[in-house]
Amino acid sequence: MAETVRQGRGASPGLAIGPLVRLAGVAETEAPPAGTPAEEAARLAAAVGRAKAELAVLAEGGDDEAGAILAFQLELLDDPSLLAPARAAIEEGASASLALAGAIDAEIVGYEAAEDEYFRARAADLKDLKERVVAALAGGPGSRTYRTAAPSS
Amino acid sequence: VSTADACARPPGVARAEVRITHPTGLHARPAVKLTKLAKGFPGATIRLRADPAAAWVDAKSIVKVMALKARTGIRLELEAEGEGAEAAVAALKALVERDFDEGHG
Repeated sequence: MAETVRQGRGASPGLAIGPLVRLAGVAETEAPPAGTPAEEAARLAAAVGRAKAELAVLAEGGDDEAGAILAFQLELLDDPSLLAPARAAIEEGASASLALAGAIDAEIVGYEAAEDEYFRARAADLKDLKERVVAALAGGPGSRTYRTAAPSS
Repeated sequence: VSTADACARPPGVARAEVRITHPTGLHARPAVKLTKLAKGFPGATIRLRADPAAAWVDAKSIVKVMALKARTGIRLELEAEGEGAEAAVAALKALVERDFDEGHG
């Protein structure tokens, strides 16, 4: 996937301090896994667990519409058929990030191909979910910068 | 489910059909309600089909249920077997008939 450069215009001066995580490039640029398949599988399971905990916290304070999207994303992470292709890819040597991104991207294609506008719009929920889990795999509090901008926030 | 249907199917299999009347169809929120209800019957295998020519899908999988892209007006077929199969089919059918307990808006 090509890198996307977004141009912005400053609305007001400001200062941001914190770890920077370049989420868009995480899945594409990550080095080959240092871990064994068992270690990568464990990393993925831990990241999914962390993503679910984040979603559960967000769901507590959200309004009805946001809550529905968060509930949908939580249900997706609970669905073995979403992560089964990722686990299979890890068995074949993929990193947890690439495996997870590939599994969710495969689902996104199906949504983007939908005739119905509503179903097409769900592709954004899956992208958001992918980024959340990839951020959890990257680890650290940097994932919080992404969280404020995500559709599920 | 009628007695005639019961004779034509294997023992222990419950089936029903229901038309989706929710205006936006089986979209994310109704689908989550459906999979959660289906998971409340852990001893039953529950399948759905939105098209008689298509394969059955696991009613407990949000990925598979959403992939049906079942819109309003579609006849949804339900099938269950195992423990609580009859109750599962009845509960899922009722959920669809109640428009997933959502107001239309």
